Amino acid sequence: MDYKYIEQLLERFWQCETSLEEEQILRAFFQQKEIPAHLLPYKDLFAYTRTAKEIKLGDDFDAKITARIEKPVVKARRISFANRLAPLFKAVAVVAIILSLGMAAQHSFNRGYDTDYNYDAYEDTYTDPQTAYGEISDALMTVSESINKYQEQYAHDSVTATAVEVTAEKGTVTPDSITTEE
Amino acid sequence: MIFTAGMATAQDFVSKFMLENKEDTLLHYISISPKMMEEVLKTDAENEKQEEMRRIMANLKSMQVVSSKAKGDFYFHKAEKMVEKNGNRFEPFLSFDDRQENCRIMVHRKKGKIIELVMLSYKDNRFQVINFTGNMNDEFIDNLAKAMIPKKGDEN
Repeated sequence: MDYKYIEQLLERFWQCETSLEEEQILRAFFQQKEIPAHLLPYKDLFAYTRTAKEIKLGDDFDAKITARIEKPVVKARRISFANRLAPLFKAVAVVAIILSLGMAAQHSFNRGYDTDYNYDAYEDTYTDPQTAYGEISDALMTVSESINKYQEQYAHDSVTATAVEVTAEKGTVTPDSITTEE
Repeated sequence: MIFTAGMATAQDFVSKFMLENKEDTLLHYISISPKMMEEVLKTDAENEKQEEMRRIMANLKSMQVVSSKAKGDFYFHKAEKMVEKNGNRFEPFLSFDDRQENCRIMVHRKKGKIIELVMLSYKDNRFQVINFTGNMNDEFIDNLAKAMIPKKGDEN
């Protein structure tokens, strides 16, 4: 079989000189089952153009592209003045809670002597302030006496200790040297 | 809030001691509340000595006294043990022990102030605990000590 015509068409195809009809002839030729070996490498090219031509966009292509391109519709919503201030209210509430907790903690730490004891549980033994005065006065006097007694004893012990030290320096420490100060 | 509640239920020494010995009929208990202390301070002083005493009392908030005419040694050691248990609370102020009397004074300080003063004493088998709460300091104790020293005019 003579394939010169096909070869010429091919040559012109590479030169971009073929008409649509001639390209159609080439495609028809390469659709055949039996193609000579020296033309076989070109088969895929013309088969591809045929199959590529068959590829078409899907019916939903337009819808998909439109969905991607178009921006979502933002619906307008009416916001009341109170709603607009809600974040501010929340911030104020948080600050108020923090301040309250801080003040409560500070109050607990700074509480004076008067709240350190559970004074509500105290029950008075006396109803007469004069009698109570007498008892408090007596108790204060007892404490005062004890302080004075301690101070006297401390002063006495200091004198005795000094006497012991002085005698020790002289090298004559005896139990009598302690009692002689009395 | 737990901390606050804990603070409110703090007890003075005598209250704790009485809690452990509430069934003991040998113990005699006297309590002067802050309210009564205020009433006492409202009464008129009849002389300079009473006036001075009121000035000292003005530093006090409450007073509690526990005493016993018997088993003094037993109660004294019981109270001492309680002091040891609360060692971090009380600091020893003074103590003496002679043949006649055994005495210990402890103070509870807070922010430099003495908020509680406790005196334990045991003499002639008699036991006594005196417990003051209030706003005291070392000057208060100094004045208290001086209150028993007779003045030059008083001696004659």
